[in-house]
This record gives sequence, C-alpha cells and structure tokens, in this order.
Amino acid sequence: MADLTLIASTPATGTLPVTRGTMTLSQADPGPLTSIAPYKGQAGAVSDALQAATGLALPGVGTCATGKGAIQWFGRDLWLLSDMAAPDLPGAALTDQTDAWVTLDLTGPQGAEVMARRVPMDLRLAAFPEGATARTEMHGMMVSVTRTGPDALRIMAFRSMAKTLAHAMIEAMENVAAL
Amino acid sequence: MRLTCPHCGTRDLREFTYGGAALERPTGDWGPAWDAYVHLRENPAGASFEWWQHDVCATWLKVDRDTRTHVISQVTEARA
Repeated sequence: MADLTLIASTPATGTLPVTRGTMTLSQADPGPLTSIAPYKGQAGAVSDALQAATGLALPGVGTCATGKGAIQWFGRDLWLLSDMAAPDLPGAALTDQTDAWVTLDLTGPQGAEVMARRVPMDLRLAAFPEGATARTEMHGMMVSVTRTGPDALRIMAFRSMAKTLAHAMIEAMENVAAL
Repeated sequence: MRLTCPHCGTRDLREFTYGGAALERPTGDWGPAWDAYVHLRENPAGASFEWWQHDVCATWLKVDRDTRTHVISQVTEARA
C-alpha cells in the first residue's frame, strides 16, 4: 500500500475566508479543545487544580481568560479549554471537543451590526467588552460568541453546521455591506 | 416575551424551550394524585407555573408567567 500523507481538513474548508464590505469572516484554529464539567460541588477544587497546572482559573459566568491557552465559560457548570492540552483534573469530566466545533473569526468595525441581524443579544463593544463570552442562538443554531478584540468576534458552532453558519454569517455581512 | 436566565441575563424567547406545567410530584403508589399529575392540566387565564429550559446554557428554570399578559413575575433556577 502506498504511503499516505494525512492533511488536516477544517470544517469550512473551501468556503472561507470571505470579505464583504468592511467585514471579513475567516476560519480560526483554536487548537485542542476540551470541555471541563466539574462534578457536583467540585468547581472550586477543579479551578484551583487547573490554575496550578496551567495558570488559568475557571472564569465566571459570561467571561473568559487567556494565558498560555484560553478558557471560556461555556454553559451551566461547563467550561471550554482551548489552545492547550488538558491537564489531569480529578473531580471533573473532561471531554475532547477538538473536532466537534467550527470556529470562525468575524473581523472588522461593523461586527455588532452584522451580529445584530442574527443574534438576539447586544454585542456592541460597550455591552460586550473584550473578555466577554456568551452562549446564544444564531439562525437556529446554539452558538458561542466571544469578543477577542475591539474589532473581532469569535463564533463557535457544532462542526456539522459549519456551512449553515458560514452561509448565515455571509448573508448578514452582505446585508450590512449593502447599506 | 423575554425570560431572565440566572446565568446569562435577559434573553429573547427564541433561546428557550417550554417544558410543561411545574407540578408538585406526588409521593407513594399509584392513585388519583398520580393520575392527575400525569394526565390532568389546568388551562389557567392568569398565573401559570411552568418549566422552561434555556437551551444555550442548559439551565432549567421555573417561571411564574401570567398567560393573559405574558408578565413574568418570577424566574428561579429549577435545581436551586
């Protein structure tokens, strides 16, 4: 059998990047993803253990923290560690999510206007500053939105929905660009 | 209609799923109380206690809603 070289293929390969008006939608590589779900009453101990191992503690609701890797609040009693391999954390259920999500970066000055057409929450910089993250609904998909910079938003959805997500985002970008 | 999730704050209805009437679960063996719990529902014009799930953060809520006005007088986390 011939030698095979495996090439990593990301969920929206072939679709992105796309620029419409002032906004660009591109695919991000968040590295290894691990969800951390502390067992009942263990959140404090897990946070301490994570901090000792990585320098990152479990952030509060609706916020994220970055250091060597990054960690974000991801739902009730759930956090998502990215860009680093997960340490051993007794007291929590760790699940490898690396291939389960599509991660898109929306960059440009009109991010809030674009997102306002898809998401039922205020994502303007004043209401959703750097370090803020939220789980919300977009076009029927349950997504995660994180502000990574004044002109940058990161959107995550299930990998199987990558094309729908990209389509919904590009359509919203076109609507804003046409104004 | 908007509901206030104790974690995420006030959010639009489209993020929530209705989970039925919030009833007191009977104890003991099968009897009329269990029959009512499983099958019988009020159709109130006024205060209604309901379960709702905030789909995006997976929190179950107990909501006190007025069915005539959609006024939400109380939202608490179900497990609290």
